[in-house]
Formats: sequence, C-alpha cells, structure tokens
Amino acid sequence: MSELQILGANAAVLALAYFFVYPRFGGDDVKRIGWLDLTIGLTTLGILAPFNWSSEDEFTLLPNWDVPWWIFAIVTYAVLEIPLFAIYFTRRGLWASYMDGVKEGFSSETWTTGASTKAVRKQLVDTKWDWIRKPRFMRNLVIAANLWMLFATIFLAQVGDNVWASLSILHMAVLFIFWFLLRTSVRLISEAGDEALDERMITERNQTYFKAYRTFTMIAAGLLTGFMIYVVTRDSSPGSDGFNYQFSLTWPQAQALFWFIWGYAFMLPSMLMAWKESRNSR
Amino acid sequence: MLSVMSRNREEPVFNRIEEVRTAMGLSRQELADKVGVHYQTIGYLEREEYSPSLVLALRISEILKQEASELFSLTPFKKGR
Repeated sequence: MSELQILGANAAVLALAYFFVYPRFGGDDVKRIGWLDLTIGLTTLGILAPFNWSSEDEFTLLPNWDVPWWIFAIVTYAVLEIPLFAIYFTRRGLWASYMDGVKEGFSSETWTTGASTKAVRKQLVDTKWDWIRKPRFMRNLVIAANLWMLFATIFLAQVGDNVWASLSILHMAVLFIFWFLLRTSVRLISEAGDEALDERMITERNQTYFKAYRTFTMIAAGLLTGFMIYVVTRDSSPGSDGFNYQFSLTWPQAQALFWFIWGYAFMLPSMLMAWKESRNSR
Repeated sequence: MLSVMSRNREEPVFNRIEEVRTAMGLSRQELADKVGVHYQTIGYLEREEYSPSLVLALRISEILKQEASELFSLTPFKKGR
C-alpha cells in the first residue's frame, strides 16, 4: 500500500465514524464515544494489517522521516481525527464533560480500583445493558471468552511469518470487547472500591477476588511448570551445557503470551462473578 | 472440635423482611433506598441467600419498625406469623 491509500482508508473510516457511527450510537455520551473511537481505531488497524504485514515498505511521515506502516497509520489517523473531534465536541458542547472524563481517567481511584465510584453507581441503576445480564448470556459470554482465549493463543503460537500473524490485532480487539462485556455484565462490581458498593457486594467482590487469585495462581503455575519442563528437557538435548538456555519467540507468539496473561489478569474477577451469577439463575 | 461460623448459604439467617415490607406497602427499591443498599441486595436477603451484618439487620429492623429478633432468626419462622 502507498501513503495515499492508508490516508484514504483512514479518512473514509473517520468520515463514517464522525458522520454516522458517533452521532447514531455515541450521541452526547463522551465515554461511549471514547470506547467507540478505540474500537474503530483498532478495527482500522486490523483492516490495514493484512495488506501491509509482510511488507518491508517504509512510509514517509515527514520529509526525511520514514516509518513502518503501522506507525504511519496510527499517527495519520490521530492527526486526521483532531479537527473532526474538535468540531464534534464544540458543536455538541461536550468539552466540560470531556474534561471531567479525563480527570476521572487520571484519578487515583480509577487506577487503584479499576472503576470509579461514579461509573459503578451509574452501572448499578443501569437497565440499558440488562440483555447481557441474563443468566444464559452471562454463561455463554464466559465460555466464549475462554474459548476465544484458548483458540487465539494456540493460533498465534503456531502461525508463521505471514499475513495471518496480523490477526494478533484482531485478538487484542476481541479481548477488549470481552473485557468490556464481562465487567458490564456484573455492573463493574468486580472492579469497584468499597465506597461504591453495599456490604453484600463487597462480600461478593472479596469472595470473587479470592477465587480469581487462586485461579490465576494455577494458570501462572501451569505456564511456569511448562517452562521448567522445557528447560529441564533441554538439558538432555545435544549441545546443551546444562546452564545456558536460549529462547526464541516470534512476534505473534510474544503477543499470544502477553495477551494470555494480561487477558486473564484483567478478566478473571468479572468472569468468575458472571459465572456465579449465571448459575444463581435469578 | 472448633466450629467456625461463616456467613454462607449453608447457614442462612431466616427473616420476615418480604412479609413485613409488603404489609407496609414498600417496594424493594423503596426499602433499599431507605436502608442504603442496592435493591438486588434486598432480594438476596428476602430469598435468604445472603446473611446481613448486624448493622444492616438493625437498620432494616428500625425501618420496618420491628424488633430485630422478630425479623431475623437462626431457625425458620412459622408460616402465618
């Protein structure tokens, strides 16, 4: 692909986003626009990836500054978006709400608890997402998230240096969607601080974290045991000095490992809480 | 042998919250708002799937104008009380 083609793809996606998707599905909800923006941005990268994955082409971002395709795509997407973003937010008078969101995002509460009190309280009275809080949906969501995690991890661990490796971007986007749906299905309780919850919810969250920690320990123990078995078996292979080990990982394998650990670290509490609620069938 | 008390489903705290609440004409949401908990928590309490803390039990008793011992019990209440 050429610079012009990437610019054209970015411009087309942004036009679709700001003239149809955001007005239709985002409206004046700054947070929702933010999630949509992230999803559309990642999707655009995912669409461009198969066309450029194996390409060694450099793209001229500035005179005398050539960069790989993905840096060019991300930077030009951001630059093209700035005026559209400014016009959209000015016309709808969303700047104050945007600044509140920025402050909330950088608050210590959000970083230490995962979800702010304001966000949790909003979720506790929310009815819009009740369709994903049905027991069957929650159960299927947990099963689907785990199946996807296993499938994508194995796939990325096996895939070679070809166009299919670009699916690591899709994996990231799908995990992000699962994380969002799981935490919304349990009304953010799994990530909330005490001040946002009542005593039953605090008890449930604490029990969930206990189970999540134990489950995560088992996952980590499984990975580390596999690692140790590999190391020990390497000792008996020809050429081994029994002391030094060398490992090689492909980019998709590194992605698979990274997102497997991060995915479970972030999703396990919500997964376990959703599973428990689905079995209560109330 | 040391027995450990736990607040789980195997050791429910029986209650008459639903009976008294409906007699007073209160919805779950209204009682939840007065007590300061989520309305689902009232549902969990009424189904005896969650055993309340002493503070919550006393607060509910006060709002429902009942003695705590009349509202909560470790043994099932007789029907029609």
